Amino acid sequence: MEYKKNEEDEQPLPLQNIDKIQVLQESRVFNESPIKTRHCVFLITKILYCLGQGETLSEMEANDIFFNMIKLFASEDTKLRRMLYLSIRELSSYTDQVFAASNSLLKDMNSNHLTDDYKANAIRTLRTATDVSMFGALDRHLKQAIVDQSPSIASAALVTGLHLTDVNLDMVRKWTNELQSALKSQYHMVQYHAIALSYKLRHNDALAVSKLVSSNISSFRSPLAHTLLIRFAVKVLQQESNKDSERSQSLFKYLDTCLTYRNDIVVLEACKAICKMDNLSSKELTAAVTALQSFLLSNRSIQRYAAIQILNNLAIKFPSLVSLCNTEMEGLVSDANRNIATLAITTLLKTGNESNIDRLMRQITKFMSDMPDEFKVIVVQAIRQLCYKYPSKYQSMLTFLSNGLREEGSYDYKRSIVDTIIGIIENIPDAMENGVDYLCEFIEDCEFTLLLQQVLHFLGQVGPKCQKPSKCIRYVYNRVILESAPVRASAVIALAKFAAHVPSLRPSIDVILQRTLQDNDDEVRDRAVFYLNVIRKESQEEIKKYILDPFVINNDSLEKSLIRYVESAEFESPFDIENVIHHSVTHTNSSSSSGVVVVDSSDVGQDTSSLPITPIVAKDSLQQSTVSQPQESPLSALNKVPQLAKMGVPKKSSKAIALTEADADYSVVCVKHVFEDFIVFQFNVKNNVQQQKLKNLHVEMNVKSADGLEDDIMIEALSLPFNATASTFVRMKISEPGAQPVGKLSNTLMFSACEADAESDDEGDMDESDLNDIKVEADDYH
Amino acid sequence: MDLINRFLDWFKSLFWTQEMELTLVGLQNAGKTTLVNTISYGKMDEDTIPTVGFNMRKVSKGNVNIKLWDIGGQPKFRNMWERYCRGVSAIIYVFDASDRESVPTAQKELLELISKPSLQGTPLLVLANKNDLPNAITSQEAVELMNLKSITGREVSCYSISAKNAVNIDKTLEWLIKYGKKTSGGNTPK
Repeated sequence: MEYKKNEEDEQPLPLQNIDKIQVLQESRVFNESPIKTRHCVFLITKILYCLGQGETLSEMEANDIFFNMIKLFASEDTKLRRMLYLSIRELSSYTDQVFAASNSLLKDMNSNHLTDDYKANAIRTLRTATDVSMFGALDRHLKQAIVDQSPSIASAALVTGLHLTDVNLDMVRKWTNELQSALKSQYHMVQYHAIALSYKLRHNDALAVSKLVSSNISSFRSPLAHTLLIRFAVKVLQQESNKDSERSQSLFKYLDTCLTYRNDIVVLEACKAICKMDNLSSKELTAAVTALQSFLLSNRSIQRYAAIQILNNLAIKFPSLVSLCNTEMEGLVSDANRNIATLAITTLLKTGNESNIDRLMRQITKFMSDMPDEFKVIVVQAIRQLCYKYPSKYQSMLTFLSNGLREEGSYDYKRSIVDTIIGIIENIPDAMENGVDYLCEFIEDCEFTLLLQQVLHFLGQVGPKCQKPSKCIRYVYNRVILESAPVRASAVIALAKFAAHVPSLRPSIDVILQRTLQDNDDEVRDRAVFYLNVIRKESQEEIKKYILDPFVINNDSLEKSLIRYVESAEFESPFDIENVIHHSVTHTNSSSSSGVVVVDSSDVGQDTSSLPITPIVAKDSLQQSTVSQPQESPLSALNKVPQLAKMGVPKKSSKAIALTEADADYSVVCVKHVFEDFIVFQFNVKNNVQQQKLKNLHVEMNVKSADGLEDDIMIEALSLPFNATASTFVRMKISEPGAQPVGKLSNTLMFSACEADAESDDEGDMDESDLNDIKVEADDYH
Repeated sequence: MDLINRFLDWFKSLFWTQEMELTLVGLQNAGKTTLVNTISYGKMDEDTIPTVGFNMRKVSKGNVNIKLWDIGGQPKFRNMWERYCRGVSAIIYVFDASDRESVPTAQKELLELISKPSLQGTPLLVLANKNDLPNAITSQEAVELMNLKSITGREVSCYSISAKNAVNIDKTLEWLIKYGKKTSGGNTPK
């Protein structure tokens, strides 16, 4: 009822709910004589509105409208004529008959008593109305229009030319003289369009483009034309292989002079161009950054926004350079425009170096409370990246995040913090104690069931490994007493895990679980009974089977098996879940289990319907711990390689996959990092041979069946002494953007081995060792 | 009496301006656009290009405002003629009197056009243009060649004119003003 009432109160938009058929019928009005100008203008508006809403016309409908409309050419009303032009343009995509208007348009275009705007509009419309055969006749008129006194006519003709290059390039090519004079036009817009057309005519010819740029650098007065020139210059510079050639030098000098141009658009465009080039040193960038710095203080928000955005992008590659603007950016943090403020904060986080992160975090804490939640989420994400970059700073970041947890906040905000803390704990082992403490504190006062379950699950996995697991148990047990049924059930599962991992705690957990047997929710009671029985058996094997080694069930295959079962209609034998589990376990083994939801045995064994299963973030950290874990977080290793660091944070990184036996001479594990256009394979090699030092390690990958992957770059590990681990990388390019190639790759570890105490210039003997194949699967991309 | 009539006409024209809408059709190169120019400016524009689609021209003669739709004559436009002729005061069909070979086509297209039910009763004026050229068809000949006698149910006339030298343009206008008021009458070819 409430909703309906609101609907009545609201004024409908003037053209809302109009019907195409009705409008088409109304189009008879066009035929009436004398012409009802205002009525017709409104009707055309309606037609255009319909088309704009995605309605389409059949060719017959379009013809009807068009021929009715043609009568309106009899009126000289400016508004009506303009609407006519507009509708002809729209109708031209539905019917060829609009070419019948060509003659009238041509007449309008050459008419002496019409205003310039009229003529300009006629020229623009003419292009859509005519077919190719007409262009010969148009040529003369367009050439004339280009050199017309009126800027709007000249611009219209130039834009038409720009479109005509697609259908009749040769004709437009012959307009050189007219174009030349248009380039010298005193009107900014004409210059702008002229340079665009000139470029279009020779964009395939790098030499001609560079000539075009250099010959016009000094003569242009139009800021828009300059922005185009800057873009063209950048294209030339990108194609130019030799950075020091005379041409590059002069173009770069041009960009530099643009930095001091008196028009802001040009300066910003030049800054953007310079900052985007990837082969510049920070010294060459300084001028642009200085220019941007002054924009940060501008009183127009659009300029501040543009500047901070460019700096934000630049900060990924050149944090120290951008940090020159830190003072100004800190001023922007409290900017009234939230986009600017957010960009400023994230840029500051990127530029922060180890020494000033603490200060930054303190500063952010001050204004975090004034920001809306969606911006806080962005800040939290930035912190997450920062944390991967400077793992040693986890302490202050955790403090900051925990403050966020204590504040009031939306689910999304809280979730991003929880995800980040979990991410930090997983990647930085030292952070575990503190992180777990914060999470424990958080669940004491959390209103979101899903988050509670997520944290409880995580605590169940990580908590037992803390120095004092009993500390956590108190928090978990509080949940059993205080929270709703789904949370209580999750807490019971977590408690069982503590008991499974830490035998010394079993008696106390036994007591707790016994109390839970009195719970008034059957889901909770069932779990308690189940776990109590398993724990009391004191059989490590069963504990492992039912609590620690979680059932792995693939939702997809479960669904498929169920459908198959229902379709087969043989209900004498009950549905056998073992088949699904068995099936999915084999499936998981082959896919290194990423992307598969890990479900507790109890959930499968009993009724699974009522308990929402927490999406598990720490998917298989248990499994990971059994594989020889890389010494440091994979991401920080990636960040140490300059070529790879600038790619940013991968969309997804897989868990470590062992490619050799753990006790092989050289044990190798691989981590797949998936980026938008690349996959980076990180191989962590451990040297287990005493008295031996490895040099120049790399892995040769051979694309066996993974079509769509191309070799890109390879990064060697220079040396590897005994009992150390080194990383070598292979980057593969995904040939088709957006594709997700899958398949197998074979790998060979190549290295030269020498005596551990050999001279440094000893090259050693080349050797190689075969590794297991790596699979790239659809899972890796999501 | 004459003075009083003229005074009355003038007086009427103050209050009642008459609107008239005419459509010019005919094969290409018959001289339609030239005729329009002659009617509106009184002289011929040497540099006429083939009409693509249509031309719209407004002319005021006395107290009559005339809207002239000049339609292209190329074959691809001919199927559009009917649309432009719907609901007009009169149809003017122009053909090239000096080009005898084109006459059969002109005649065929004319009969096809006026056979359309939507154009029933619309007065028709057939103009044999270019009578300044040698060997041009006269109006009497034209009536025969164009088979105008077969047309019934509407006002039909035929004049021999020259758009170039403005011959008989005044008579043409007179006829149009007289019959262009949708008076239906007998079949009176001249």
